[in-house]
Amino acid sequence: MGTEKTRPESTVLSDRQKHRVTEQLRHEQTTCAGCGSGDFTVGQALYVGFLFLDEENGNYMVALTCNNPECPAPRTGITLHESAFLDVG
Amino acid sequence: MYELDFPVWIRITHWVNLLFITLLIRSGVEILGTHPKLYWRNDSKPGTEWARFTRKTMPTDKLYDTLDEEESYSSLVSMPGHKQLGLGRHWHFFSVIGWILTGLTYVILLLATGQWHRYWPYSWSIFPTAWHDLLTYLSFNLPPLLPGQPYDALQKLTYAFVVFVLAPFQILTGAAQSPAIEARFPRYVRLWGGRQAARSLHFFGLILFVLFIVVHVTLIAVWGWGMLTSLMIFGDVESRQWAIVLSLVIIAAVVAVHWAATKYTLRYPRRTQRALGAVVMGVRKWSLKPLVSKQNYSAAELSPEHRVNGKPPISDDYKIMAAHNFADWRLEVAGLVENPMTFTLQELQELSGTQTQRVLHNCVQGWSSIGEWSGVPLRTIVELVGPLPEARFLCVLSMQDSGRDEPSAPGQGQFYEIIDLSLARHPDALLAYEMNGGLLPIEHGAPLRLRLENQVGFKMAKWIDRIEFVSDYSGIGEGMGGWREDNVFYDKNVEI
Repeated sequence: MGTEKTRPESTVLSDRQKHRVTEQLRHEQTTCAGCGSGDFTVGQALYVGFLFLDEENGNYMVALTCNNPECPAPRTGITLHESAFLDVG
Repeated sequence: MYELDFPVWIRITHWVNLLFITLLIRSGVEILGTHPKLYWRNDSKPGTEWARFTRKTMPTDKLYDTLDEEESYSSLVSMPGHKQLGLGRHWHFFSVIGWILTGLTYVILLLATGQWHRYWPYSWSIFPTAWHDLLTYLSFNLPPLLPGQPYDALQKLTYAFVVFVLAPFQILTGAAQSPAIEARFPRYVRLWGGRQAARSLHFFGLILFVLFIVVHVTLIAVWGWGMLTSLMIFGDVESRQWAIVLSLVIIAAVVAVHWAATKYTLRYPRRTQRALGAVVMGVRKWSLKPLVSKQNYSAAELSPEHRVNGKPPISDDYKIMAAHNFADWRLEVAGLVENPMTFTLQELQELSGTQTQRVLHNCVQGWSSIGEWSGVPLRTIVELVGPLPEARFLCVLSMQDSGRDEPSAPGQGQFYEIIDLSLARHPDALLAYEMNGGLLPIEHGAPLRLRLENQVGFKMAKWIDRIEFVSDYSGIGEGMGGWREDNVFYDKNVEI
């Protein structure tokens, strides 16, 4: 279905890139706002640096899904600069 | 033989025309200033303009929209000036109604009384004579009048051109910029070379009118201000001194009307919006509103870069939803309905009767682009929820907080637009979730936007998350029928 397609603004991350995101989460001790868990599945990255007025160039909203099956709000995200997880030049 | 004199109706329509044409010119400049670029191609692609009346440059590393490109012109040249497109549009469309009625009166009486002979070129020889007249003027001399006529050959041809060619040309190219007319009669717009070509030609018409007025007034002064204004005020040349005084009084009165109207409009924009809007929307209601889209542009005509107006919501909730491809997004449809419903994006996509339309998008600012939009017909949703008998309007609410998200638009609060229930039942009213064969891009309103093909773009709310059926909208916002109607004085029904 349409919701499974990649959005034109999104980037599918490689395993290495997802690993770097996970390292960032661990480093920043990020937890789920819904349940407090720190266990996430990393999804696609939406480039927000161009589209949104309040974002700096190079920023992405990386989709995170809380792995706690009891979590009331499992879909969340984190804003990261491309240098933190993408393989830039 | 007809006596080509200056009967009272010619004199009255002449001076009334002066008022309306000058209002049209100034309000036209206001409209031009809101998108101060002119194109030949329908897509209005940035950088392809053949003329620009702005020094602004747009960023390449950040989303900008056409509100950022808007210019603020002085009230000396625009009506009312100071970046007031909504009010400028009211004045333009109010004035055009008065101008057309004046023109129709003039032409009908011209034909009925035989005064049309003053414009009819009876012989081909008038053209070389007019050329000779032009050379005579350029040598700072006055050519002879045509025998038994009030004009020389050049004047006769010029007046005939202005009355029978330039004025209808402006009306026709103006009409070609109406989304309702473009949608119903797409071939008509093609006749002019497209929407932007019509806009450019309309601009040339404005320039010709300004040139005509300048030359006309100059030549009156050269030929004899007292004599000619006496003819145009008293119908004879006997009262030249009085005519000089009175002509200056009339011109001063026209200037005073402009000054007062401008001051009043800027001081009381809401009253102006209501008063002029009542006239303008009354005319549109029976002339343009019933028109239904018949357009179907080819895939080859799709704009490679569809222009954008409005900026996406900057809330984290929205960005997170977008990053997850709007899996958590919901459309709530409620209010005066039998069955309030909530839809996920997937549920909307699975509704039967997906509709695709390739259409010309008209922004209220004047630019256009061609896009392909797919989604669920709005009438399908209307049928599913079942409006109660008292429901008359739909309030379409956006996730955009305009004060926060759109610094180039003055005003605060959640964006919304009111549309008539009858418009929601138009076959081309669409809730679009796809564009050009792919998912609807964020800058174009993802996950869901409205398409109303006989309206200008701002009515087509983007980033929609709620639709409320209501019986009355006077208590919503400022009660004018939408965020832009409330904040920047646009008109609620915008078929042109």
